[in-house]
Amino acid sequence: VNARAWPMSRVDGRSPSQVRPFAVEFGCISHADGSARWQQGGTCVIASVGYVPLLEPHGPDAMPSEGPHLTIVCRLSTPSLRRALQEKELQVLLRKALRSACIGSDLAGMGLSVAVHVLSMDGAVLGCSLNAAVLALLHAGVAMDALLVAVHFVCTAAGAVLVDPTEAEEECSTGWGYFVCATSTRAPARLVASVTRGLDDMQLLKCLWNAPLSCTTVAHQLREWLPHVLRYGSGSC
Amino acid sequence: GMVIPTNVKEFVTNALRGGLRLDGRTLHTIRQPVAQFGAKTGQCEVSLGKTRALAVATCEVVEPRLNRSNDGFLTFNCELSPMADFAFHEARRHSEQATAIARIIERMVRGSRAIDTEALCILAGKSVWSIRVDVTVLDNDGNLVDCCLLAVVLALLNLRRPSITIDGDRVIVHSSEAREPVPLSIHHVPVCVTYGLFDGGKLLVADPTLEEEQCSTGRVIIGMNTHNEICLLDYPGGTPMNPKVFRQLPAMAMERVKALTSFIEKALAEDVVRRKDEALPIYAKKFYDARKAKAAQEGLQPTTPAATEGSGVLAGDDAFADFLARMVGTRKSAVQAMEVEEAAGAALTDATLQAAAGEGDPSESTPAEGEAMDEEEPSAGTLEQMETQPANAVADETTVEPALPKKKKKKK
Repeated sequence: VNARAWPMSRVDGRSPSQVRPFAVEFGCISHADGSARWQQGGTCVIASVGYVPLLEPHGPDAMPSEGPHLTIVCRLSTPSLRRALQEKELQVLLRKALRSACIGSDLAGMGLSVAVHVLSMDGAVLGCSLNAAVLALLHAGVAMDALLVAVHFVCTAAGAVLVDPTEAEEECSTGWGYFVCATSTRAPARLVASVTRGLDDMQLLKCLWNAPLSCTTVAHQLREWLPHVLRYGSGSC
Repeated sequence: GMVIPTNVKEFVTNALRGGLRLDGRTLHTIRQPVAQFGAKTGQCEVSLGKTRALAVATCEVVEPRLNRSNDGFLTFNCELSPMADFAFHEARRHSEQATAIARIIERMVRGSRAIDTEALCILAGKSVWSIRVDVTVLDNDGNLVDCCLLAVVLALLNLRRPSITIDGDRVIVHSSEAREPVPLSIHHVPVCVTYGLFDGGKLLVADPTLEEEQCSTGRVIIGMNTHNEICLLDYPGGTPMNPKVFRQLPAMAMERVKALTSFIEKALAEDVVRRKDEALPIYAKKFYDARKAKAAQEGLQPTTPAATEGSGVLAGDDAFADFLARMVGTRKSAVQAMEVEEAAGAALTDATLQAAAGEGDPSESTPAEGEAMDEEEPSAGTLEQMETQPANAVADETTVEPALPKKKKKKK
């Protein structure tokens, strides 16, 4: 067997640029104004959004230009020593991205309360949390100017760049990157936020090149069956 | 809790006096639970109507306490997620209500000896099992205790701990690949039913919803198993109850207990079947089959040098080379690192760049390797087939592709 006909592929059979199939379910939390559940491979995240009355229009630390007042709480379901730290990290990273996505700084005197709960972790947790939160905002009817989609990359020791890593791939990687792109039907995707660690310049450029492409594909697929999903409650590809 | 308008309270209570419930159940019917297990063992999400709880059970080998060298650890932790109810929005990790639920679950499982902590001992004084169950309430529509307990019991029954061998003084923990993980030893299956009390204790309503709970004046929880043993009786008081009704509680609850236990058994059996079916991810299987078939058909084709050994170029080589040259200037070294010939005379105009960006292929339909896998995408199951511009089209300045990816059948 000629080794070249079997290019490097991953343990679960995906190509390096293949994103795992994802499934979306809306309305899983009946009390929330908007809720969404995002499942990508083994990673499953539930996010819920509620409108909460604001005691004062803008808190001392809130900048009106940045978006509506948003409090976010993230929880992981598996106990680990670093759990509190990971949760805080998630909160900080998601809050900024979500605030920038929403149009308008004043939702008629209401703020947003976002709760994100990671049900199971199998790699790309940060990206899945953002996707779930964005879809929950969508379900709650918050006006957004673009659909934010997040995608994860991981670089292996051999220099390969893989999209949407599983936990096993994340563990034996040398660097990772998380990129959020604002996708819309009227303009090409633009990079909104990114967090990287351990990527060298070549790998970073490869990720920057591919992030909008992957995000656009995911967003394209989402837009295709969003009308169906919003009507019937759940859908998967 | 929240303030309930008086007329709502009266309406609900009057309806219950007449044997009518807002969701159409009888006074003694419980909602049908639905269980969903996670990818790893020991994780279960139970929804009782709209109430949802997630329980995650984990186990670890630790050293025992000094004064109880034969006992393992069994801890329960409950959390009310802020998404469950507006009343939980303070987002404190340990509220009174959560602690109360955790205490009830602990009494039901540990107090009734469903799991014996002495059975968790591996080597006396040296190693014991520590089992920890974390329950989170995701959605509150009444009757949190029943839902949480059901989730906990299912998680514990579903948990598989790694198998161990004792070699003299050492404990060897086998990985799940080496040896099949084993279930915990659970002696009986405790199940509980919550009754809301109305009308000064004269009316009992099983499995109250949130509205009914808020209109009730008290509650009583009875926990039993199918062997007709009472595991727990929780009657915090505040409302008097007729002793005759009190004595009839076990008999009343028995039918529900049997129904819940058979539901538990059925859910666990279904999960065993599901785990066997899902041993390999679906897309991997189809992917491998398609690739094998393709390779067999077409013979083996050599791939471009950049493809092998994981250079990891994700999108079309030429397009990326152009992008790179634009980013880092026209340094030859940057492009040479890609091992791709620069398209002769290709001016890097915005149009070309946009065309390259607008190719929009998720680079899954153009694996840069240009290998035998042409049409495998539908079986991979994720993304539609997108039109792939052959790499030379980028050099063609006259064709300006639109910025949006168009969905067309891939040609090669």
